[in-house]
Amino acid sequence: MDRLEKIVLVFSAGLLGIFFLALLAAARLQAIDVPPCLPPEVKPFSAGRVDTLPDGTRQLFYVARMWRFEPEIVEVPVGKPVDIFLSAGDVTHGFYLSWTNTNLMAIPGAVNAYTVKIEKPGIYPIICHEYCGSAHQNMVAYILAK
Amino acid sequence: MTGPMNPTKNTFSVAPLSRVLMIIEVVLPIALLVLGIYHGFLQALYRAGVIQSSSFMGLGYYQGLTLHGVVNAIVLTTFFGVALGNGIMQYYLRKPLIPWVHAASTGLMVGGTLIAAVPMLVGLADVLYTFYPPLRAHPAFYIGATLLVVGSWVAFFGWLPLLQRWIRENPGMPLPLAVLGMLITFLIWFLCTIPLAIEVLFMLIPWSLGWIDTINIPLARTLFWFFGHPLVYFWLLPAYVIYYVMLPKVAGGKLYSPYAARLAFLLFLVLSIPVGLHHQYTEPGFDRVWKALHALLTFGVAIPSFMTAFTVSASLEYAGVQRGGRGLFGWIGKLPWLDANRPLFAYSIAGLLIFVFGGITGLVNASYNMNQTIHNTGFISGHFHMTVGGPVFLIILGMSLELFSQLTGKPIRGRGWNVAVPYLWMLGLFIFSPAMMYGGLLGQPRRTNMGLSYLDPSSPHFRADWVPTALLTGIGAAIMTLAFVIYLGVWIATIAGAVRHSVGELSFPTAEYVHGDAPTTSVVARLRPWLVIALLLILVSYWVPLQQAFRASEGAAPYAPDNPVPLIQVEK
Repeated sequence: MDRLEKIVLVFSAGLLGIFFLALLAAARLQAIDVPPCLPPEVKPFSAGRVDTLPDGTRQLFYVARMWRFEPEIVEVPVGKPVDIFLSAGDVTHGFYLSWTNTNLMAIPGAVNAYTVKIEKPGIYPIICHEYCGSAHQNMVAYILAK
Repeated sequence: MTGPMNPTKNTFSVAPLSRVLMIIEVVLPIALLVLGIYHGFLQALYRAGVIQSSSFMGLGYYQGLTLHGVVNAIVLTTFFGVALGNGIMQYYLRKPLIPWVHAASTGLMVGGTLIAAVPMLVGLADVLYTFYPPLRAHPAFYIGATLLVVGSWVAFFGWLPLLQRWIRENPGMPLPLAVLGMLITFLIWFLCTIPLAIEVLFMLIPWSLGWIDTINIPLARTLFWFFGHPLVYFWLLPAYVIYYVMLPKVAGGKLYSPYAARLAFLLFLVLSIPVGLHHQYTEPGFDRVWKALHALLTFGVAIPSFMTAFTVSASLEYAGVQRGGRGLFGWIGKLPWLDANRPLFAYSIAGLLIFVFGGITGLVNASYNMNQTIHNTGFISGHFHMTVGGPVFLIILGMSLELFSQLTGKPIRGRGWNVAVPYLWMLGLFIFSPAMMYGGLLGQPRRTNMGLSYLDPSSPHFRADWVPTALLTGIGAAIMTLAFVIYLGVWIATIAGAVRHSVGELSFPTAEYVHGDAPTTSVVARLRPWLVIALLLILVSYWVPLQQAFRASEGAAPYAPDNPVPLIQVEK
C-alpha cells in the first residue's frame, strides 16, 4: 500500500481511538452513560406511580401507553438524583426528558431505567419520540422541578 | 462463452431480454420516487406547522411517511443495487446474465413491490419502514417486502456462476475492482437479510396472519437492527464502486491506488454487520459492555470511509493536475464541475461534499453515551439525509439516467439542467439538514406530525423555540423538491427523445491506476479469510445480546396504529 495511505489509515484509527477513550472517560468519570441492564427479576409494571425512598430519593415509575404517559405531571426536587423506571403498556414508545440526557425507549416486555439530576427549576416536557400510532404527536407529560 | 463485445468501442451488448428487464429495474423505482419525494416535501410542511392536519389530499401523515421511507430507502436502493450489479457483472466479466434467473429476479422484485404497495396506499400499513411491532400491518406488506428481498437474492445468486467461469478463464487475475465492490455489497446484503428473514418469516408474518398471538418485541427489534445498519452499507457501497472505478476517469484522471480500494471494501465486509446495537443504546435489556463493543466496531467501520475520502480526493487531485491545475489548490478549479457532458462528475462530487458532513454526524450518533442527546430526535433525520439522501441518492439519480440512456440508445436531453440538479439538491440539503439537526438538539422528535401539536400555536404543547428550525427545514425541503422536479423534466425529455446511438451497449468509464494493483498473493486479493473474520465478529458481538433479547418477560399482542385496544386480547 502507498505510504500516504498507510499514514491516513493509522491517523484515522488513532483519532477514532482517542474519541472512543473520551467517551469511556465521560461514562466512568462523569457518569454520563447509556441505560443499564436491569436484572431479569424486574418485571414490567402496568401502573405509573411515584415513590420516595427512606433517604429521600424520588423514584418515578412511568407507563407509556397510546397516547399518554402515566403519571402525567410529577414534581421533583432540583439538584437531587431522581430514578426513572419505564414500562410500555401497549406498543413501543419513546421517552425524552427535554434538556437532559434522559433519552429512553419504552419496549414491551422489558423495563428501562435512568437516573437524572435536574439543576434548574422549571417545566420539563417529556416527549414521546418513537412513532406509536395516529396520535403520537400528542403524547407529552411534564416534570416540574422545584 | 464470452459475451458479444465490440473491441474498438469497449462496450458490451446486453441481450434483448436483459435489456428490457434492466430498463424496468431503472424506471420503476424512479417513477415511484415521485410519490416518495412528494411526501418528503409534505412532511417538512407538516413539521413546520404549514399543514396542521392529520392528512393532506387523502394521504395521511404517517401513511405518507411509510411511503417515503419504503420507496426511497428500500425500493429505490434495492432496485438500483441490482440494476447496477447486473450492469457491472455483464460489462466487467464480459458475460451475459442467465436469462431465466434475471427474469425471475426482476419478476419477484416488481411483484413484491406491487404487493406491498397496495396496503400502503390504502392505509393498512401505517407502520413506517422500520415496521416496529407490536404495531401491525396487513400481511401483504410483509409478504411483498419479503419477495422484493428474495428477488435481489436471486439476482446475486445469478452472478455467481458467471463469476466462477471468469475466475476459471482468468487464473491468477485479481477480480475487477467494480466486480469485487458489487460482490461485497451483495455478500453484506445476503448476510444481513438473514436475520431480517427470520424476523419476518417466523415472527411478523405468522403473527400478522393471526397464527400466533404474541411475539417477543426485544428480539424482533434486535433482529431488525442486525439487518438495519448493514442495510446502510448496502445503500452506500454501490456509490463507492462508482467513486473508485468511474469517478477518477470521468474527472480526467486515474485512481490513486486500487490496493486501498480493495482493502476498504474488505473492511466493510468485516465491520458493517456487528454494529447494530448502536441503534439500541437507549433500550433496556442489554449489558452496557455489548453496547460499548458495538460502538467500538462502529468507529472501526468509519476507517474504510476515511480511507475512501483520502483515495478519492487524491485521485481527483491527480485529475485536476492532469487538466493543468497548479499549486496546492489549483487542481480544484480545473475539475469538470459544470461539464454538461460529464453529469456523473457533478452527481458524484455533490454527493461526496455532502457525505463529509454525513459521515461526521454519523460518528456522533455512534458515540455511545453522546447518543443520549440526539437519539430519535431530528438530529438523526438530518444526519441520514446527508448519507442516504446525499451520495447514495445522487449517485442513484445520476447513474439511473446514464443506464437508461445506454440501454435505450437515447441521449440525455436537457443536459445543462441535468448538471444543475445535484448542486441544487446540495444547496437545499445544506439548509434542510443543519436545521433538522439543530432542531433535534433543541429536542424536536423525528417521525412526528409536529403541525398538530408542537408547531400549532393553539396547542398546549406549542414550542415557540422550535419554530425557526422547523421553518428552515421546510425551505430546504422545497429547494430539494425543486431539484427533483428538474430531474424529472430531464427524464421526460430523454424518454421523449429519439434513439441516436446504438441500443443496449453498456459502456462504463473505467479508471486506470496511478499506483499498481495488489499482487494476487496479497491478502487483499483474497475473500475467504475476510469472510471468516466477518462471521466470527458477528458471532462474538451478537451471541450474548441475542440471548438477552430472548428473555423478554412477556410476548406482545398486535395493535392497529389508530386504536389503543389490542387486536387480540391475550390472557396474562
